[in-house]
Amino acid sequence: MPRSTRMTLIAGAAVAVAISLALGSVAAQDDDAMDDSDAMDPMEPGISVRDAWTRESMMVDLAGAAYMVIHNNTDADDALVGATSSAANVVEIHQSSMDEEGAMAMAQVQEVPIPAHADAVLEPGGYHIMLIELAEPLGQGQEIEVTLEFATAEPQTVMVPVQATGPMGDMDGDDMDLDHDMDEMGHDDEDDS
Amino acid sequence: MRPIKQLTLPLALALVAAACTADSEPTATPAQTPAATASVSPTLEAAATTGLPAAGALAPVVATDPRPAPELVDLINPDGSAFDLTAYAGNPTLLFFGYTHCPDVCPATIGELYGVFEEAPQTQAVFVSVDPERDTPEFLTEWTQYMHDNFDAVTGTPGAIRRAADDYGVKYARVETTSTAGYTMSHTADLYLIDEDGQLLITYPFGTPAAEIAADIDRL
Repeated sequence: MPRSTRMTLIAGAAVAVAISLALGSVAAQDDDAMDDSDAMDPMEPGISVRDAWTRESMMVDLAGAAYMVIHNNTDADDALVGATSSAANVVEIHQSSMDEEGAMAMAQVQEVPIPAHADAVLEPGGYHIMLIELAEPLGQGQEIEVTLEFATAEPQTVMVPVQATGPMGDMDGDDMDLDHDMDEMGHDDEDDS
Repeated sequence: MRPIKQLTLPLALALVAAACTADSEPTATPAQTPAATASVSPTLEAAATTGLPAAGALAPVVATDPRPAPELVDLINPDGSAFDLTAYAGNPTLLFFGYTHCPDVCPATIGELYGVFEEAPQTQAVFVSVDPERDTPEFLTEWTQYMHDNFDAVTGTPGAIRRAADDYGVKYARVETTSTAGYTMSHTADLYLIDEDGQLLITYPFGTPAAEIAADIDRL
């Protein structure tokens, strides 16, 4: 297929995905049309969590960090106010940010706001759940349980896969052995093609 | 002739754009955060593709008149021997300042380095600790056992580390916290690309994707 045609098709697909994403916030989605049946329905009522992951940690002396996207599909603002995990004695919420000197700094925070009908994004260089005093090193391919506590919503336990050290852009690559996440990543690819 | 010396910032940005649009090499695929839900403003495509926040949204800085990389004198290897940056001559080397007890920013940078090692295996990396209190030679000896073969870590006295950081324009400070994990270090999280001849060529801001760095290294 000529590159120009292929690019046009990709662009068309990207537009289609963009439109479906846009509609997703205001209209119910047809689940049957989505091949990643494991993915969280964006219209699921209440609080939902997607794209959770943490990084392998070779030494128990070093804290881990867990990342995810938390969606609030209610009419009221909520907040992530705490978390617990069997994988770590202490779990805290932290935020990295750039200070006025251009240095990256990290601070413990009391909560992560989750506005009504919006996402709270926990990602490297931003909000993260810190896993301190690990019970054992986090190994690639493991899954750990993290229970999230919210200001309003009931607590929720999510499974967080442990990923090998690698670049962000490769997270849909060979290291992923969880179909759920691979499918979600695949969608992201289309979004940005 | 060293082609990279003619690399201009616009060209570097063009390389980023190329990496983002190439359909044959999905190495710069976006992270787990869909664009529609990103919490940050994508001021640069390079930053948007990493899923990293605006902190990484600054562009790489290409030296128009490259100078020899400051030599990091008086720093020591984990085995206690004197660190010698000139020993890296012959390999492109990525240098950055950080600390092992950094759970978020430094591991993200190390993750990108691993991506560079995969795409440009001749690359070496040197991690300079800004936390000598915890990053003792003994601790770094254990830590580096778990790291990639191309990844080295160095430490030193507080004075030597401060001089090394100043030479690279790196800012860092100890920050007391309420966290059980203890104090943290705020630090500039740039990556410095040093070529085979020891010239400091490009400064990459935090969050620069591995594919972009590897593409620059391939052009050295």
